[in-house]
Amino acid sequence: MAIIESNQLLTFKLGSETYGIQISKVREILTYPIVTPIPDASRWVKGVINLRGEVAPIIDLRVRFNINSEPVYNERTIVIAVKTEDSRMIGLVVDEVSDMENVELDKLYPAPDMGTSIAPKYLRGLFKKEDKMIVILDIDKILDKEEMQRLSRHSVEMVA
Amino acid sequence: MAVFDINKYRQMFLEEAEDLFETIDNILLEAEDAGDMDNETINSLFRSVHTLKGNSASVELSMFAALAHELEFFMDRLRNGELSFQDSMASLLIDGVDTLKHILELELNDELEHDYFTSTKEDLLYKLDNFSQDIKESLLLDEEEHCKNEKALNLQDVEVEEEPAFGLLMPKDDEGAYGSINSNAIKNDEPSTKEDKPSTKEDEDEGFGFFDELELIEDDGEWFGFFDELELIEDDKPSTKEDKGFGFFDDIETSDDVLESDDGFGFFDTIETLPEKKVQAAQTAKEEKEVPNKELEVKESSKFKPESASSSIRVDLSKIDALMNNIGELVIAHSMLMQYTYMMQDQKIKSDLSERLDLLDRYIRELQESVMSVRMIPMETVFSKFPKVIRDTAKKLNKKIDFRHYGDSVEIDKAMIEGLTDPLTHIVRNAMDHGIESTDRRRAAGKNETGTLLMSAEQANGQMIIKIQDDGGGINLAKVTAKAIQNGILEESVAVGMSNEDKAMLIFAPGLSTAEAVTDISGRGVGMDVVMSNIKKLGGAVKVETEEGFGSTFTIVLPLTLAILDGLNIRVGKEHYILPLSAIIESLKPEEGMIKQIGDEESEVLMLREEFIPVVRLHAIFNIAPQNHKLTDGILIVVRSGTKKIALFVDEFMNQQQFVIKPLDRNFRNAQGIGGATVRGDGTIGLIIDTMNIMDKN
Repeated sequence: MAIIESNQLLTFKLGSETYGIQISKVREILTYPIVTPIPDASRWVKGVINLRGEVAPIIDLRVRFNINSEPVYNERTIVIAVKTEDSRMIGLVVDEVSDMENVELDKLYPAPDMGTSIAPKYLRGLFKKEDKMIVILDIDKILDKEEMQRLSRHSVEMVA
Repeated sequence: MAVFDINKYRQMFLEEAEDLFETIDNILLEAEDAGDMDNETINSLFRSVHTLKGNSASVELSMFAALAHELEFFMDRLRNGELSFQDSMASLLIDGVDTLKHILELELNDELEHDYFTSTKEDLLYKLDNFSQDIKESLLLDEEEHCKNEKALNLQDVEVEEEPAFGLLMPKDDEGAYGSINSNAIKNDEPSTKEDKPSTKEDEDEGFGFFDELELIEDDGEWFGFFDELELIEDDKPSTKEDKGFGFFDDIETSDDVLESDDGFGFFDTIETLPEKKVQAAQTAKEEKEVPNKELEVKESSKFKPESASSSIRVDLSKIDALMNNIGELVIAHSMLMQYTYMMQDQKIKSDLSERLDLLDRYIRELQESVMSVRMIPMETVFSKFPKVIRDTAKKLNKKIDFRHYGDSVEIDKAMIEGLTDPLTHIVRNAMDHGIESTDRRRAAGKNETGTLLMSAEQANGQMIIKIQDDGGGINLAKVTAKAIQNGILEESVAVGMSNEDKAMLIFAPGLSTAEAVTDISGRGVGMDVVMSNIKKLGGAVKVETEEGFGSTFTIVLPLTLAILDGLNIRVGKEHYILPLSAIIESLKPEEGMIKQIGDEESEVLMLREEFIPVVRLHAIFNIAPQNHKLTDGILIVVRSGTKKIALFVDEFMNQQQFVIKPLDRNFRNAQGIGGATVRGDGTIGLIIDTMNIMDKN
């Protein structure tokens, strides 16, 4: 059963554009909770929250991909809790959750090689719905352990 | 029942085999040291090997079983007093058991070539036979000729009598193994001194082989409780009655039934093909032997019982972890309630509730302690792995090493053992290869030829302290430093100002080895690096003290448990953190005169009584705006950081509380000072300060 990839997407907004992730990765959608900041962490790591007894880090995708460098956090800010392939629970901060879409994952447009602030390796592809474009993110690549470590180190060096 | 997952049972077998091998190793090592073995030890040795054999056959490890059978057979003769124990025997048996382990590994991985197995077995048999020969020769000297002749006659009788019964019972694929027993048995009878003994002996041997066989059959029929001796005994009760205490293994009726009903199981092929009449023939054979067997069998059954009467059970660690997690949730729920009472207005209800909550707190703690005690196992389990490793390595290196361990009864969290065994092995191997010198060099240095390796465990100040001490040559600090500079790990200018202690710590740097040659024991420069990272993973620290010419001491400091800690809430600026209570030595409000500076303003030290303790400003490390800038306005908490002391500067400390440690994703943080996270009473996350690594950050 697990072999059949879910082609349902949860779409959300970062800035003005619509993005999507596979619904099978999503565990929960919650409003912005009380976040305990981690000292000295990267800018886009907001801290950790208690997610049903698990300690889950919160990542602001808006900051991560330079979509909004001065994000606001209020009661309308949304966190999408996702579970990665290696069973880590991670919360993603987005501007708003839009809708559910049915998408045939094998009929995606490839992401252009340049001109995106989100590197193509993080993208699964683009999807056209009427006159809207939905950018489909590869959440496992974005949240990959080594990738995270590399970026964390990088950001420290930048500060230093 | 069509699908039978042998792997499930193999897993069970493996777990048991590991324990048994350990027992066997230890018995043999002791025997090797003492140069003697009493009856009780031989018996327990025999029992262990016997269990191994029986159980391995039931999980279809036929080659392993065949080999185990040879060893068992040899031990049986030891037990019967046919062979007397000799020093070199222990070493032979240790090798034999090693071979057994090797075969097990290969057979489990399906990598066992038949040819290889045959040659290994023959090799082993040859060695075992040699022993019989040796003994025969020695005995021959005292023996009178005519006695021997008569025996030879007897033997022939025996041979004629026995062989059919044996042949019939023999599973086809094991033919080689069992055949050789026959010849062995006969051979070994020759040296016996009493005239009538050979036939009896033969009977006994026969009886043994026989009931082993039946036990196998029975085990095979048992779907549940393969390894449950109790069940076996229970099953056999009726037949035991019939047979008048004949022992619980010769249950021909049962095995017959099993044979009939289990036809088509395909579980043990040889059984299927074993016609009933063969069993009958075997039964006849058995009846003939009944008289001589009786005594032995009864003795046997009484011996097997105590083992099965053990009151311990095997529980999957994950179940205990789940239990621990539940208690963790309970602790959190309790602290939520506590938090709630703080906000209550009505003083009467508040105090009543607090009182009851305190009671609840006590029960939760008790519950938690009992679950913790389930997880705790004595250090003996860790230590007992080493005599074997040390013996083997010492042999390979041709060094003499005396291994001693203290603190066997000190208890350690089971979860920690896994992470601890590897580092300890590395340190031990290292100490043996590089630390302890060769016998010649030791003699030249005026030391005892035999090197000493001490391992000790103790609990102190809420920490577990494990020491590994050798009396070898110590670490050549100049060489280590030079190598570190050469490898680019260390700047030459830095090296000049380094203390000896820091230089010794260089051995933990990855890729650093001063060994000229890479051996299969050590020298690749990976081991000590692993030690450091594994111990750090456990939240501990390693320290090494060394004196050239006199040896080195490795000290490993570990937290007692990984699951729950008592902590103190502290505040720095607006942020709250948790400091493990076990790390705290004392706290104080410093006075102006106690603060000294070394060089610039950043390097402050606290002069406390006879000590100078470096001050660490938490807000600086964690990059937060502090409430107080002057040390005298805040509070200094003196904590243990590994083997050193540091004074943490905080703004305030609040209440003390129990915390359940939750794993914290390590990929998102750079901060060294955070060791874990916990869920607070109000449902938010609290970060736990890791005093061990906070200095690194500095």
